Amino acid sequence: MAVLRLIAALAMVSATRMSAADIEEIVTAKVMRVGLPADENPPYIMGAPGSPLQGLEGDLIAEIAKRLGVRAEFVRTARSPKELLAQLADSRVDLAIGQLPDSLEWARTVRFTRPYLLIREVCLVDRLTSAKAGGFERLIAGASARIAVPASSAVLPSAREEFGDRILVSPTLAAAVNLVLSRAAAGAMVDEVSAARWLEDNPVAGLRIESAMRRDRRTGLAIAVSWSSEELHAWINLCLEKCVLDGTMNSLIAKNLGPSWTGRSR
Amino acid sequence: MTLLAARFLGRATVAVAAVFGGIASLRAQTQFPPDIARITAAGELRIAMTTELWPPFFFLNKNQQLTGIDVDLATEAARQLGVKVRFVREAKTFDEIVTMVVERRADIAIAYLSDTLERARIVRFTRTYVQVRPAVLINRTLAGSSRRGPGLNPLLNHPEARIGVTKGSSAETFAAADFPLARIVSYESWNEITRDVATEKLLAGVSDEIDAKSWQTANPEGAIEVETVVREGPPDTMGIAVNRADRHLLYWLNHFLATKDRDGTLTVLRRKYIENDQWKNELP
Repeated sequence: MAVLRLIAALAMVSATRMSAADIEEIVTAKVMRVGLPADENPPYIMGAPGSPLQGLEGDLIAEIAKRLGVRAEFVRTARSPKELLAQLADSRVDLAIGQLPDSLEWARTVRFTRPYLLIREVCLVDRLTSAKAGGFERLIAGASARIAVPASSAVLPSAREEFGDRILVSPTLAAAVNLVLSRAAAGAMVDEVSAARWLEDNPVAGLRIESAMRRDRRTGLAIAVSWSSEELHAWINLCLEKCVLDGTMNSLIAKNLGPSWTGRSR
Repeated sequence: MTLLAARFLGRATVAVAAVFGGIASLRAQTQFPPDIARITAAGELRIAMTTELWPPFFFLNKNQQLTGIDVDLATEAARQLGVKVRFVREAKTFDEIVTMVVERRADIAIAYLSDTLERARIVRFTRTYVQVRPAVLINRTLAGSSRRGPGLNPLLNHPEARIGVTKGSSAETFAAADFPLARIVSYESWNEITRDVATEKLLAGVSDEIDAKSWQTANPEGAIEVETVVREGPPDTMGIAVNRADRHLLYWLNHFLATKDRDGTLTVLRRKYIENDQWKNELP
C-alpha cells in the first residue's frame, strides 16, 4: 500500500510540475533558449552568430526575455525551418523564431503563437510576359506555369499548397528572380517585405520586374513552442498582445522594417 | 524502515522512474502529439453528427451527397490534417453528439452544435465559427385569440402557452430559461414542431433564424398562418466540440479556424450557407 501511495504521489508531483514546468524551468534557470536560423536574414535577423543580435526578431526576443525576467540564449545552427522545429521537438530550445509561417501542417507538431507580423504574398513577374498574358493572375494560373519560391521564404508552405508540383525551390530570392527573367518560371512568389527590399536594392532589374500584390493571400509569422509547452505558449501570446496594445510592436516594426509597415500585427 | 522495505521502495522508485523516463523518451521520439498521432494513425477524422439533417449545416444534395457548411469545414480540416473525413451520423439529439465525443465514438463534432456552458462542462469548444440569432415561429390564430397583448414575452411566458423545442438542443435550455411559466414540449424533430405550430397544436416553436428561414422557404403559403419573429438578444454560437483530453487538437482546430478566417474561407462559407440562399440550388 505504501508503495502504491508513493507511486501515486510521484505521479501527482509529476502531473503538477507538467502543468507549468515549461515556464517555471525557464524562470528558474533565468535563461530562455531560442532557436534561430544560422544565417542572417535582414531585416528580421542581423548579426553574426556570437555577436549581439539585431533585426525585428532579435529585438522582439529581447523584449520577450526582458518581460519574462530572463536572458535569451541563442542557438543559431538551423539551416531550415524544419531543423528549427526539430530543435523544439528534441527540447534543445524553448522556442523558435525565424520567419516561421504559422502553417497548419507544421501546427500539427508545434504550437504557434499569434502572429507578430502579417504579411501579404507578392508575385514577381516579367512585366512584358505578364502584359502579353493579360495579367499576372492568368500568367501563373496556367497548368504548365512554374512558380519559383526562395527556399527560406515564409510563403513556401502556402505556395506548395496552392501550386503543388509546379513549385521550383531556389536557393535565394535573386536566384528565383533569375528564373523569372530567363522565363524558366512564370513568377516568383515571395513575401511583400522581401520583395520591397529586393526592388530597393535592384532598381534596374525592377524596371523589368513587376511586383504584383496578392491582397487575399496573407501569411502570419509566429513564434513556435513545443506542443507540450501550453503555459509558455499562453504567456507569450499574452506578452505579444500587450506589446501590440502598448505600442511596443509598432515601434519594433517601424525601427526594423520602416514606418509604413506598422499595424501589421493584427 | 526495514532493509527489505527499503529495497522494495528502491525498486518501485526505479520502476516509476523507468515509466516516466519511458514517457519522456517516447515523447521525444514521437513526431505528433498523442491526439494528432491517434488521428493520423487511424487515417481518418471522425465527425459526430445527428441522424437528422440540418440544412444548411449538413444536408443531402442533388447527388445524395452530404454537404453544407459543417461538411465543408470538416472536410477541409481533415485534408489539412492529412487524413480522410468520416461522418458518423448516429446521434439522435445534439446532446448525444457531445456524448459521442466524450466516449470517443467520434474525434470531434462539427454539427450545428451550440457551445453552451452546460456542454462545455464535459467537452472543450473551439472559437465560434458561426453565430445565429434566436427565432420563434408563432401561430397567428392562437396568438390573436389568447388576447395577451403585444410583445413576445407576455404571449409566450404564460402557463397556457405550449412551446415546442427540439429534444436535446440548445433551444430546449434557452426556452426553459426565457419562458419559465410556459409549457415546454420536447419533440424529436423540427419538422414535427413546425407541423404542430401550423395546425394550432402549439402556440410557438423556438429555434433560430436558420431553421425559421428554412421552414419559410419550404412553406411560403404558411406565412398566412404562422409568423416568424427573429428575437433580439444574444446570438446562438456554434463551435467545434473536442474531447477534453485532446488539448493539442483543440489548439490546432482553433488555429485552423483562425487561418480560415484570415484567408477568407470562413467568410465565403458564411456568405454561401448562412447569409443567403445560394446553397438551396444544391437541394434535390
